Amino acid sequence: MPPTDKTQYCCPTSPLDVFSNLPENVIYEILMCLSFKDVVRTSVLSKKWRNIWCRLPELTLDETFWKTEKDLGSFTFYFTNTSPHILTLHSVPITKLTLCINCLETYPIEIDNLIFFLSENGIQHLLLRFPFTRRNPHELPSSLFTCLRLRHLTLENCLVLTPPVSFKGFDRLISLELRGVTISSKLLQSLISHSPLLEQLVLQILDISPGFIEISGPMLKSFDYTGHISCICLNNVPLLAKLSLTDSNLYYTGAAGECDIAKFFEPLSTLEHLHLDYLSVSRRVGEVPATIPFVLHSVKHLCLSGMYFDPLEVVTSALCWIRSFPNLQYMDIQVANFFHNVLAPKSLQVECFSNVTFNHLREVKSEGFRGTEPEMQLMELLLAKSPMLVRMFIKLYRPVEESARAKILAKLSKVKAASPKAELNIFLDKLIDPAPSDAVNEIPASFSDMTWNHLRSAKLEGITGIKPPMELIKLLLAKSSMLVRMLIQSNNGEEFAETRL
Amino acid sequence: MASTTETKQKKMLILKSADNDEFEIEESVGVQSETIKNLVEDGFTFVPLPNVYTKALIKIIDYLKKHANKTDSNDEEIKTFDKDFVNTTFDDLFELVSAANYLHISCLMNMLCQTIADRIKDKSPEAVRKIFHINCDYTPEEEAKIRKANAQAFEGQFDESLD
Repeated sequence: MPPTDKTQYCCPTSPLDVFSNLPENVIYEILMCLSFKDVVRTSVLSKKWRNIWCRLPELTLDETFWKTEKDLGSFTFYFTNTSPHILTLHSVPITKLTLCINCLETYPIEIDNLIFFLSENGIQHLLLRFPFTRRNPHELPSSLFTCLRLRHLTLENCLVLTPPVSFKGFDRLISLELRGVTISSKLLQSLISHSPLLEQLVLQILDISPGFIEISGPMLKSFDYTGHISCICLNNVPLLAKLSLTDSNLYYTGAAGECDIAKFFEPLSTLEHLHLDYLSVSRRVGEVPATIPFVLHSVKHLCLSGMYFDPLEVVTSALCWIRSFPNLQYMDIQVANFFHNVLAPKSLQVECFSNVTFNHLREVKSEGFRGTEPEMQLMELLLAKSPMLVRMFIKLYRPVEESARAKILAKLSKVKAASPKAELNIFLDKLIDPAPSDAVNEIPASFSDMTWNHLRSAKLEGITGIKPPMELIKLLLAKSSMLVRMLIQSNNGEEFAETRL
Repeated sequence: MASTTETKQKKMLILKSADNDEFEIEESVGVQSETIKNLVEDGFTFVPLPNVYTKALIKIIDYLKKHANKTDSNDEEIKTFDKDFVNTTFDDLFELVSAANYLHISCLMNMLCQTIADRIKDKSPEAVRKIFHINCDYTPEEEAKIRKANAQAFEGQFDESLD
């Protein structure tokens, strides 16, 4: 092959320009990771680079392009001037476009022109993010509905009105994400039901009128909903594997339209991941019943988040959900806020669950843990009743003191874990203030009569090196006859491990 | 290390680099590369790679082995591995990205492209030219014309460092 670059040929000592000589598709891949401004600047590198940016099939137009140090102009001004320029220069169809606008005083007509241009050129992946406005969200042009090759569509903070009569749906659409979009429930339902390939649906819609949506998606695998629509009905979702309902005062509505938690969940026989938050769990179901009258064998991951106010409620609802999912493997409880400590009732004690085992539970994670009695009982119960448990990971609520942590660990270590492999991790992610000096001798004194006959593995993170945790470590080493492994991670990330067999 | 009996049971492949070095790997590790996968599906167990040099191939085999053993619990370990993997010179990164492109290993390709992009973002054209030894063949007039046409892209402060 003849040399393309004379300097390289004539001066064998000068280093090669490897970047320019990469395969063109690799150069595109690299440039597509950069902001549009960075990309356009490559045009000046050398003649070879002059038009490379015009051949990129994916464009990201965001604030970085319009904002400069001496930000004189506005988005509208810049967009009006540059977007026609970009479109005329672009020599390949744009398959993916991301347009992010953080601040917009007037809506430039060029945005509509841009969408029209994209619809004519077979856009496949479109993301339009407008700034949040309380009233008068920007209305999208009807040319949106002629982007018939769309596979991924994300819209934020805009208004979607009725499509033209000729619109028959996006028959290639795989994922649809609507955040803060104003749309009627009728149009939303029809958009979803006329996208026969839809696999992923994310809705973050505070309210909708009328406040009822029925979602049917023969290919739908994942549905993530955040908002206040009170009635959602999942109908004909035979492949749904992931469901997340958060911040929603939801009435669980069955196909017949009545509020019934069993009717809502029972048809979801393929569900594997379920994420619920406090509001979705208890507000509208009323009192969570002691057992929920349905069983889903497919659920493997359960996440309960934003649990707050009443630790007892958290624990009872966690327990009643876990009983409905006999094959659960991973459980994640994120506690947002506890206001008070309460005594756990007798009904939570291990002895009351003699007929229950959680045979598949492998991992339990709890964040924002404060060591209240109901929480402790839940953890004890899970340790005692889960023969397959591999790891229990407890992340403490930050202000919990080191001495309290020692107590939590000590208490949990006393439980006879059903699983021979169970590993207990107590984790604190930030330095807390050193405990007051009167706490120093507390641990050895209050635990001097204890032995931990079942503790096999302990991991302590965020250790500050002050006296109470050091005492705890000594104590654990001295009194745990079954201890196999202890891993200690100090607060500044330095790791030192001690193993004792 | 796998015991010899295990090695016999597992299907193995031989990869040959552009410098004629041969490497034996498990088939399940190799097929993460689309290029190798297609050859394996056609019945090949000996795969010559005329575009991949030994130095890059050793690193890539390391990567494939690590990622073939992905489980639910070694997430952190893999992240650390990846971070170390891309912590190298531009020359190595380009060598690796060409190899990953030839072998069609998309996750590696994405990671390398992102790494290269992160290192050149916000840099001035002069700095980019120097780092990559790009010979500017524009006349000063031509260059000024291009800068003017896309003036917005050249406004502001840029990173002049060469690392």
